[in-house]
Amino acid sequence: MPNSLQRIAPILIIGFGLLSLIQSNEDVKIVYPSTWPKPVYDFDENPLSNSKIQLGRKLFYDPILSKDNMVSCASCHLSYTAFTHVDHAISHGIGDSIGIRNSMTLVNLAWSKHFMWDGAINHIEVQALAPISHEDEMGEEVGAVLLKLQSDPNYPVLFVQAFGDSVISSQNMLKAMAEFQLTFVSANSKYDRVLAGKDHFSEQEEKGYQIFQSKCSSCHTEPLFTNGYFENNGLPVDPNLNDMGRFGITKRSSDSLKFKVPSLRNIEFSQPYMHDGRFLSLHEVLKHYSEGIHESNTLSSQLKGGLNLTEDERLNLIHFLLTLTDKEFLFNPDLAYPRNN
Amino acid sequence: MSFRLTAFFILFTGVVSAQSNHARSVELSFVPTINGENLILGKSYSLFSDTFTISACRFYISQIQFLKDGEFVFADPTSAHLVDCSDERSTNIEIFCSNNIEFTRAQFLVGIDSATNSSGALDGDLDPTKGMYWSWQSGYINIKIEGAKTSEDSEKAEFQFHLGGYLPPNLAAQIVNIDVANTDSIQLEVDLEQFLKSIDLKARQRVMSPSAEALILSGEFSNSIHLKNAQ
Ligand code: HEC
Ligand code: HEC
Repeated sequence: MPNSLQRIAPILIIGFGLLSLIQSNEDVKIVYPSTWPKPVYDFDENPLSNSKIQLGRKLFYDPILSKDNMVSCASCHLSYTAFTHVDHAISHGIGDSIGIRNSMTLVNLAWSKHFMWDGAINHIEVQALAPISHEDEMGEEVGAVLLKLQSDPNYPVLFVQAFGDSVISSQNMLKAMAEFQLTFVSANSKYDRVLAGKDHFSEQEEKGYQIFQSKCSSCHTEPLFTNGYFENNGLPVDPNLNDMGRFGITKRSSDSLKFKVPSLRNIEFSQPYMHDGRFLSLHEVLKHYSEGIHESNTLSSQLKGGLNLTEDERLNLIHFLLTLTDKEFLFNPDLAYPRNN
Repeated sequence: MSFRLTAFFILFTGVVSAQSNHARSVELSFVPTINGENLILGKSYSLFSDTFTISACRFYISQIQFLKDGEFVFADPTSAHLVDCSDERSTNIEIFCSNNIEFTRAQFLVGIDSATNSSGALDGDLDPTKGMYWSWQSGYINIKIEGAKTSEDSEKAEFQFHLGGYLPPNLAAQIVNIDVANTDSIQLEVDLEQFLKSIDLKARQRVMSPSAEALILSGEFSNSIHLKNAQ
């Protein structure tokens, strides 16, 4: 190699390094319809950047976060099933111990004020602490995870790119994981296209939509299909789990048996349903709302006496619910396992 | 303006602001005691005919402010300080304020306020890996006291108090006001004997989550903080 090139090589490397740093750190903005409410997450305060999102993505799919290095976030939250654990009513975690709740769909989290079925978590950035340190989920101490990441051959470099610091702090790890999950925006279902005037409902879907608006949307409010609150939708308590929902957090009797209203986006792919996964199909869910409502003190008034939907109404409703499937979101390669890393 | 002049101004303003804003350091020291002695973790103390050991004593102090005649004159910009009795340095909180501040009262929070509790992933003393954060349910543990009691019949009972809560009605952070002359060293005794006396250890040995009980014990803990002496 010519001498002069040798001499400038380090400068070139530093130069290119800086360039790539600047490039990969450009602010990223999530895209959603202009008719949607403003996100709850403060993006002005914490703008997303590509390098943090990619780091968060790697962490999300990496079993290094668990004690036995076998379980990753994606073990229970798969992107092509709307980021939920299919076929298991109660999510399995480390060593196959069984948690007490059904995994949740991870969708439009930037609009969420509370996380988990009972709202135990108050901010997306601290959410990951719960599954990592929960003995039934990933069974690891967060401090031990940080040490593993620090001694990994790849992570310190990625943390430098993302945060300009090779010392891996819990704050930076958590922020990166949050950033990746904040990009889980589902806004391109048939329903969205119909609303934007780019598609139209079939007759059955249209009828289903009308029933939905009169019977369901007080809780599953458009466009996010959740009102963001905790409600009791009339499920009888499972005596084996005795899960009182929001009450466990606030200890207020008025919160007894209330659970976070889940979004219904991509509901076609997120069975089993409800906090304990007790229903395997949308038919069963609608049977519950029609004739299975369990009366109790905190039952939402809209559901008193059940909704008594006819067989036809149920079918139409299901046709409508299937229009909430967003294939672009479910099969978005940017959200899938990072194969090139 | 020439470069030299600019440089001079920057230097000059830097020096002046450093002088007027940061010349004074006030030390707020927390001295945990038991039986009137300074606490040593793991040591056995005789109290109310039982033997006590304390294995952990950690708490957050935040929003330190100085008042003069009822008016706020200074607020500590550091969001929170973790006082850990196993680390002596952490028990002395150094506060930098301007020289011309005079105060007649110090005020602080034992614990972390609701807004900070809902602000996502924080660092420094508020790093959630410091053992003062509930991971399964968001929120800081404001006060952590752990130890064991051995009664006369040599029955040993361990106790663990993890006190916190940021949601109403169980807002656990406690405001403490200390009337103190304008001094550079405020020494506060944390009378653990008084705290332990307030608890019926037969009935409750563990408080591990936000609750009405946690609220009561948080009040007892902050009541056991007294002005020791001020030089
Ligand atoms: C063993 C299965 C399992 C693993 C592993 C797991 N989760 Fe979950 N996840 C769940 C369950 C179950 C819930 C609901 C928990 C509850 O309500 O208590 C949930 C809830 C969530 C929520 C709340 C969603 C909402 O809308 O409120 C987020 C966000 C989340 N998980 C992200 C993660 C991340 C990030 C990881 C990896 C660090 C992870 N999960 C690992 C099972 C799992
Ligand atoms: C009073 C508020 C309320 C009304 C009205 C309501 N829901 Fe729900 N829905 C909830 C709550 C709360 C849950 C979660 C309950 C749980 O898991 O304990 C839920 C869960 C669901 C689920 C399961 C979602 C999942 O991810 O597991 C489906 C599907 C559903 N509702 C559909 C409907 C339909 C269709 C209607 C109208 C016929 C309706 N809901 C009316 C509050 C409501």
